[in-house]
Amino acid sequence: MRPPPNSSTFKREFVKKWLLALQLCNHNNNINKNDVVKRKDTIKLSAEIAMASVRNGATCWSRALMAKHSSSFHVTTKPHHMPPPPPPRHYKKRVRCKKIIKRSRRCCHNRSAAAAVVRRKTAVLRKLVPGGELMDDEASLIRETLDYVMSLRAQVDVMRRLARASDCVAMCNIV
Amino acid sequence: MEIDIKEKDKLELEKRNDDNSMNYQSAGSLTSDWHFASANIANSALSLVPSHDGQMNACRGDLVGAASSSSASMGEPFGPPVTWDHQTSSQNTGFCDISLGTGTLVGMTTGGPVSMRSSIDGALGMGWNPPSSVLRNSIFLPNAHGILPPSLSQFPADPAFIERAARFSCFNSGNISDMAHPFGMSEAMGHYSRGGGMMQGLQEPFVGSGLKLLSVGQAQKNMMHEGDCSGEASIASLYMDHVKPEDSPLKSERKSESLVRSQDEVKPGMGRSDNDSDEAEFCGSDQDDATMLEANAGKLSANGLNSKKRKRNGQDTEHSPGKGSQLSAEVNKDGSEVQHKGGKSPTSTTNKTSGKNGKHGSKASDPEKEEYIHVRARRGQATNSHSLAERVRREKISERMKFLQDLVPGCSKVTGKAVMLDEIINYVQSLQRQVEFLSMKLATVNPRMDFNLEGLLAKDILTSRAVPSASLPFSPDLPMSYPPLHPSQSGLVTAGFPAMENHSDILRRTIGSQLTSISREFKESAQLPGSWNDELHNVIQMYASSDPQDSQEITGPIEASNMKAEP
Repeated sequence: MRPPPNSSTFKREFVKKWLLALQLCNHNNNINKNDVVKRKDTIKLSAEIAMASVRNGATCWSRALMAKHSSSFHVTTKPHHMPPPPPPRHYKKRVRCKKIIKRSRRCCHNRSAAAAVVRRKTAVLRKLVPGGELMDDEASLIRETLDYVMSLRAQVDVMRRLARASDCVAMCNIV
Repeated sequence: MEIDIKEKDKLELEKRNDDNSMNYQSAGSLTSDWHFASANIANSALSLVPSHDGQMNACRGDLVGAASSSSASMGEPFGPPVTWDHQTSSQNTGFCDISLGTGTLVGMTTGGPVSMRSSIDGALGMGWNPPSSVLRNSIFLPNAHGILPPSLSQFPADPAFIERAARFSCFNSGNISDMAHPFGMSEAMGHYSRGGGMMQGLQEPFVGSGLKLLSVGQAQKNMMHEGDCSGEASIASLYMDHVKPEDSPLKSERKSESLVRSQDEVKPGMGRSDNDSDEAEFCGSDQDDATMLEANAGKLSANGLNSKKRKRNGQDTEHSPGKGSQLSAEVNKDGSEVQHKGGKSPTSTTNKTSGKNGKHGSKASDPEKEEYIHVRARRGQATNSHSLAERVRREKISERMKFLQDLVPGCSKVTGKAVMLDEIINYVQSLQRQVEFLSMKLATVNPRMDFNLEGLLAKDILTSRAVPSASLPFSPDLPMSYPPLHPSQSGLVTAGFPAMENHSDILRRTIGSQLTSISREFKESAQLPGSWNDELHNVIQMYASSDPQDSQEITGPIEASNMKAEP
């Protein structure tokens, strides 16, 4: 897995891709001028796509994110904008394998309740992290979480700055 | 902080930029300009660049063409990455595309030194991910050759430029095989490539991107001679904060030799870099992991590696072959956890093998790579193969948890796995909620503001339009189309600066040009509520449509407010 990028470089790339993703989303979907919720969703979706594409498939979560959004992301006019579709085959295969592994895991019981707690929490984490369900072992899950957390942080930072800037602009407007 | 450094650089650039006058000369005069501008290195470098233009076998030869189509190149980040053979280069490719596009635009238009610099800088500095440095180099070289020359002459001796060039050269430490040329800079490049980029010591007047390209070529010559993108990884990683200087693109047996070479070069050159303290230290400490390009979690993994208890390669009997291969596969995946560290040669690319099957490790430059992870049973522990594998797994997990501990705030004290997981879950949930909230907040922002902000971002990030340094007037058109917008423009300009890590100068110029073009486009179509995509589209098209006659002047008050607003 690639090392997570430097946060500032990640942010820059993220912003760039976010812009393009926003454009694409707005082209593909209807322009939602008045529906705030839809706009928020568009923003969020494009931001997620951008964040995932910055990692460019190097991590499982980014691939899972792209897979999740590829359905809602119809490329019409600019096919070259389309992020590379993550390997869906791999995805499905992992899911299938996971079922088998789950079945086998159920057989071996953990001896302590603490382990059960850990497993429960791991399951929760799996649901949180995109693509977490695909990872069978904890080590990779934690690795993915690491990367995902860093990307999320950068994304949040960028969005926060943007929001702050817009606030400043609005205030200046009022003044 | 790397951010601060970059800001500083940009500020420096901005200052320099103001003093420069824009006179673009023909490409033919490039060498002469360079001679004028540079001390010693630039000249020779410049002359070489054109010759190597054709050799730029960058996988992105088409990219150059695409770049000229501006908007098309903008859109590439998503697309081309996939097509790249180097999986890691995709990110950079996109990056290159953007930079290329912008660079093209800048070069073609009245892009001032600032714009060129910012575009190049953006391209260079945007955290090149490890694999794409080569691509960038190749892209830049042809691009610069064809397009930059006019603007290159503008770049005066500029420490910031030099720094960027140095950084650039660092990145390219080794991949543009054909960029060989007897650059005096080669050594310096080597140094820089090792030291990780912030070559403020490099005071030679590099002429903007051209220099960078040359330096890149130099670096390339020094290091790997492979034309693959592996160098990019090293370069990108060098550029990054926690980059490992040793992350040179050593994919094959050359790794060791290049590494050694680069390391030797770097050591003497270490002292030259001002900001290189981090990287230098890092380099020094991680000599063994020089080739850990794909090291997981960057520095984190390196730390983990060093601190991780070494699993010595012992007997195979403890592991069943299946387990061993599985473990080795795991190890390969992780890279950092490869157990080859024990006394292995520094070139053993623990990370390089990530993704490679352990069985194929022999083909890599890692002859010592073993297929199995050998774990020595500690005293008093069960030697059952299952428990050993379990132990390996547990250790890996605990190591990663340590990383997460550093990442997640408030997790410093070593706690149990359950508590740690709890914290991590909470943190991830809170981050996701924050994203949700912020996106809602952004959605409620006035679309006009939105547009400006996006344009601001786009302007700043993608390029800074070539605008004469002196001037960016808010066109009188603005009030017509956006009556309430005009004051907000200045507000945006002023407010945007603190919010964004941008250079006021660039923003000023970009916003000015952007606003004028926007107003021009929106004048008739009173798309005040205008959707983002239209506005964004316009912004993008502004880049695409080079607008030479877009010379505006910054109004006095705006300048003043900008000055005030600057953080």
